[in-house]
Amino acid sequence: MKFIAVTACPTGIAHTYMAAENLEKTAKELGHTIKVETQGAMGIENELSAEDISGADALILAADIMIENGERFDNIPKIEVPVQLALKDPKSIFAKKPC
Amino acid sequence: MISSSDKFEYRFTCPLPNGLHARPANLLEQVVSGFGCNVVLENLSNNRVANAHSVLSLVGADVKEGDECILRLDGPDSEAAYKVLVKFIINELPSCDEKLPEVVCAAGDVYIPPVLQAAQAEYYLGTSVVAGLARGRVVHVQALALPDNLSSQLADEPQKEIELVGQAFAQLENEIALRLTSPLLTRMEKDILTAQQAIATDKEFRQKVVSLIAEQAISAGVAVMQAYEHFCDILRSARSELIKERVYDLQDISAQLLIHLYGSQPQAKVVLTAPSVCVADNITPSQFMSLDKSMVSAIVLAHGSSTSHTVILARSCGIPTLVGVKEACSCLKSGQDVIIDANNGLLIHKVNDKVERYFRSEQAMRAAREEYYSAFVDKDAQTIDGLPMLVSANIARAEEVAIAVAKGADSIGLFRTEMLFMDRDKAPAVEQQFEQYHEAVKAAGGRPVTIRTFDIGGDKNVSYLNLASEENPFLGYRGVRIYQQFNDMFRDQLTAILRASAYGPVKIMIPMVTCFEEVLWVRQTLDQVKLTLDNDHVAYDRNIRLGINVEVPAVGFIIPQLAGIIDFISLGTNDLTQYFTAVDRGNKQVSSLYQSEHPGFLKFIKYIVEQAHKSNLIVSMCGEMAGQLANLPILLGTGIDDLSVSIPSVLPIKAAVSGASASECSLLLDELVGLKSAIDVKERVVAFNNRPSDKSAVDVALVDLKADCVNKPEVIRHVCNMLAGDNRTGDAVELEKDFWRREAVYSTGLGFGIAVPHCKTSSVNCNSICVLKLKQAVEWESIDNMPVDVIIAMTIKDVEQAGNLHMKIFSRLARHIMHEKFRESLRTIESAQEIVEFLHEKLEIN
Repeated sequence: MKFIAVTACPTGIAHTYMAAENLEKTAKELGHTIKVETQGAMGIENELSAEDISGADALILAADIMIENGERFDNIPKIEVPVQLALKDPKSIFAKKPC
Repeated sequence: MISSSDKFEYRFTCPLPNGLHARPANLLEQVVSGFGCNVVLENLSNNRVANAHSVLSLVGADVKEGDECILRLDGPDSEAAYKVLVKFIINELPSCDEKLPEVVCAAGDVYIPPVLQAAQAEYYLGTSVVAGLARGRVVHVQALALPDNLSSQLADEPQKEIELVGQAFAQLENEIALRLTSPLLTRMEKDILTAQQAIATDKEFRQKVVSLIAEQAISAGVAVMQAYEHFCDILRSARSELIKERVYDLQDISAQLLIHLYGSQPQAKVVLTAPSVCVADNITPSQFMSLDKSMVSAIVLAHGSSTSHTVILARSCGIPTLVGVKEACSCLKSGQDVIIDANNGLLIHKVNDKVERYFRSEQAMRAAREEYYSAFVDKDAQTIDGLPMLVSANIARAEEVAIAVAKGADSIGLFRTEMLFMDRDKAPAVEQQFEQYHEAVKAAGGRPVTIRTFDIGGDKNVSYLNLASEENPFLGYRGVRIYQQFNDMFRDQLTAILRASAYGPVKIMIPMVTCFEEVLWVRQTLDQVKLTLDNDHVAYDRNIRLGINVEVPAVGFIIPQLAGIIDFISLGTNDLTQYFTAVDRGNKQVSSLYQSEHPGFLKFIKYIVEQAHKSNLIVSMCGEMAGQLANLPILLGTGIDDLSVSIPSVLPIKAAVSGASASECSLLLDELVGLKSAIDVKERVVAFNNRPSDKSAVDVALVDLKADCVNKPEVIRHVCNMLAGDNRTGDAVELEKDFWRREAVYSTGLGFGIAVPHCKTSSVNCNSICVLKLKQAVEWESIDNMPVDVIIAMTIKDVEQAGNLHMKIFSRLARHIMHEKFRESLRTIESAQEIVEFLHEKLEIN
């Protein structure tokens, strides 16, 4: 499957990036493609473009805070999880049914 | 003014921020005591009426700031008294008081360090009035209780009792007067003894005792007790805490009177044999003074407040003190081992292993800080780009020189000599002065001692000179301006200074210089005194340096003209700012305009330093500004040669100089002088001081591969202490709170035995990564529920902007941590240096 993801945590120092790394790593292991946008203390990085969004099957939203420009994802199926799940059990996220 | 022949009235509003408490009342009483007429003060806000000839009575009128009062004068010399009193109330009363000392940490506003919470420390709460951490055995100091078995004693011969009590008062007066002559007294002890003297000699108090004996035929002791109760009732009902506290002074005096009357001590003298935590309901000032301070670890009072005389004394001795610890007297056993955490307002009464660990680690931290400073004691301060800066000490007594030297002073930049001339009947003789200067020079051990000749006049008056009181004393007859009139006194001082100069380097500094002629006159007088010494074959330093205190702005513009007759200048920024901005900083209505950071003022001092350097004169600064760490970049920017500061500021200033860049400061100053206002200057300097330091985020000082921590709070405290130890935070406590705020959201335990505590905080000056390997794994509420033994702590300075390249290393680190190989490498590396190199490589830090 083709995933896109956004990660964001309260201070934007550690978990945002750790979750991003884990999602990328796990997607590869499971044979998915993924592009992860991070919204942390560095601001928005690896920003998802309109094409990224329209070409994706689902969005993984691993965020503990309101994300910026969330309206971009109004029309895409979502898997919403706490950031910590991306560290604890990333495989389970990919097994979830988007809604 | 309302008057009829010999009756006068004067109405005024109390201008004192702390009300008419003991010190201002004492001053008022002194003015009144010069006259025989009756002077009554009526407080219109509560209708209390006081005899102005009595300090106790005045204090009992409970006059607060803003209260309307009337002084009524009645009697033969009331017209003269009226004139003097009005002048006193207008000119002197408003500025005769000081700001109250601040409470470190009030009960109810407590922060219990998480380490202590985890240690399940058992504690009582108090208000911390002198900060610090101490440990010792509890010693209960019995209250200076007045005996209660005197109640039934009737006197057979009231007249004899009156005589007895008169003798007791006289003895007590003599005793206090004698104690006041002790050269060992600190300024603070002297002030407090003087306040007690005022009560011991109070006319109303004595009158009350005498009339009680006469009217009720009671014994002297009972009369003292009743008079004591009478005035206590008045003081206790006061609205001001400051006034209520005078009860303890009154108690002190009454108890001492009873000792003189009956010869027995109301309680045994407290003898301390080991480090002790002195616990009492309240300790009177005389009790405090009698304690062996080297054995007092801490003071704990059930009552009392930050302004009681005992607390003021404890503060001057640096003894950690808690007040308002309700359980102190009833719940603590003598000899019990307790820890006083006066940084957090805690008395820990049960010391377990973990509390013990906390105490030791805090002490180790303090020792490390002292050691860090001690490295600067014998080191010359120099900026990172090589600008040397002398850091000297300001003193007022010769005994302080040894302390200043031990605390790192490069020289004595200002020895104020006024104190030698004050509180006496006549000027000190040459020999007396010489002893002081000689002692100072000896103690300085070859470091120069700059002695400022007497700066008398203005706010520092000396009765035997009979200087007329002035409308505007700060613009009047003071400093060098009075030297021609008191030529002999000045020559005596020069003689004493010159004689001392035979024993080590001495410089002479002249205060309050306005024009060339004054300096020329001083130079000629100095030459004449030298000639006299030559004729008497007395040794002195022929090349003794002469300089001026730059306080009057006008003189700042004739430095090149003065260069031929002086060797140095020293900026007295307190007066210089006052005259430059035309502000009396004691006057609350204008004190906000007293701005040493005014761009105009900065331009002025920059100009003075430039002019002086062009003329090959050494420039120092001895005002308060010199000791303000926040303003150090400004002063470094001027290129000044020497900062003379209070003794405790010497080492912090030296340390700060050593971390600063003179060229950056010089650029900063160029910018500051062009700003609009002092507010802008302060903001810019704050931003400059808080600018991210260019320290690397990774450093061996931030790696501990054998961290001895037994739980999560100890780990976080340890991280904060490491950052403090490497000068990355000035406020480890705030930083600790920031870490815990983040932990409160959800634990930073990642699983794999790793935790990544982190925060974005204003309490650090640079981004940092700490790496700890723990001797034993600790619980961290990790997502895999396993304990952790590797800690990677990250702190980011909160001013960092998103997108800043410095921060990229944190996201790199976070991503690396997700890889087992990275984690394994971290675990297997065994030296701090290799950890640093490993992180440098992985995080692409150049």
